[in-house]
Amino acid sequence: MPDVLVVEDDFALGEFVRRALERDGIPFRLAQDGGEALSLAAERWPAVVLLDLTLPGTLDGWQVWDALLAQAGGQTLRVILFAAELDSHDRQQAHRRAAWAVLRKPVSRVQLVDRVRRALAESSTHG
Amino acid sequence: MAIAADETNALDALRQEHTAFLRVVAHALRTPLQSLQGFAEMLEPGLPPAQVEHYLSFIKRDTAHLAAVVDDLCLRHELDRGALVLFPAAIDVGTLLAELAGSFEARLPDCVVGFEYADDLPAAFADPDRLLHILGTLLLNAERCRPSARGPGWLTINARHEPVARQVVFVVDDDGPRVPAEYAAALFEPFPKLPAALGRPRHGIGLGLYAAREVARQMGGDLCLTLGAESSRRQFGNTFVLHVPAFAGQVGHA
Repeated sequence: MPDVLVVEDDFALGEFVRRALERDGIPFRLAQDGGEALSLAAERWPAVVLLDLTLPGTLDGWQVWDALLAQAGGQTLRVILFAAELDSHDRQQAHRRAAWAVLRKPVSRVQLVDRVRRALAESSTHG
Repeated sequence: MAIAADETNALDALRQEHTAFLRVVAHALRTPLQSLQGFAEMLEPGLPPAQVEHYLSFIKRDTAHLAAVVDDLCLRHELDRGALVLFPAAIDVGTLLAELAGSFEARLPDCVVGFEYADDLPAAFADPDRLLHILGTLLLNAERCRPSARGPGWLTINARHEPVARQVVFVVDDDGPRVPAEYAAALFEPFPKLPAALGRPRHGIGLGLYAAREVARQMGGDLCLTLGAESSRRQFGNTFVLHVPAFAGQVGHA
């Protein structure tokens, strides 16, 4: 079953996303840092990645994104950027990597779930 | 021409610093705002009381984080202007620590905070609000930096008297990632550049320890990170030591 890989290190926000997706019956896995995100993606490719930029450890969000692109091997990578700090340069970077959507915190639960749902719907249509 | 080039470089450096500062502040404000908005929206009628309590605990904690960010910014501004005004008074340490415990119970739901002090401890002589702010900064920083995956954490504040130096000393032990000795000084600079392994404070802006030490010094004390033999044997945790003057006179009772 296609799912969402949530990459979020903040405990409270991880809990918020978890509750929001659970409430709408959206399957997901949660990674708290870049290394865990890459391992989970290697186990099973996610249909959508909800990605924070500021992560603990050696990999930031951009590096995780690039590593996922390298790991994709022909599979589609749909990234929804979910970040607190997004200036024009960040948006340009996201555009260059073909972000599926960009969400700047704070967003409403409805907005978050809507974007995730639409990305998942596209994945079930286009693979 | 050389002067003009220098000025241009200085201006560029200032612009870069300004941009970096705005990014840090934006991150520090938007992350707890997301938590507040998200959990407030999820407080719907009919939720089980335990769930309501769970969501409220995030709201309370992140409200405190936001307040701390604003406090740090205002304090930095006052320090930069040399405009910090202190109102020192004799402070009963037991009462102070009880107040700290009360205000931090909801803010640190994942940590057990222990307070230890001798009954015959003399009063401290400091600005009570500023002293609470410094101790609060040490507690919040410890909580922010520890990996949540490690489960509940612990923090202790041990207050003792140093009669020779005529000081009251607060020793704050945490169980967060150890700060390597070479970063002990940088930790107290504004916006310190620290190794990624230390974790990034979730909502901090990198001014808390800088401001805390400046205020401690202006109160006649100091704040440092100890790097003693006992401390270096431990795998986790840091020990911060705050010195403030002991009150020399007689404390009056109402």
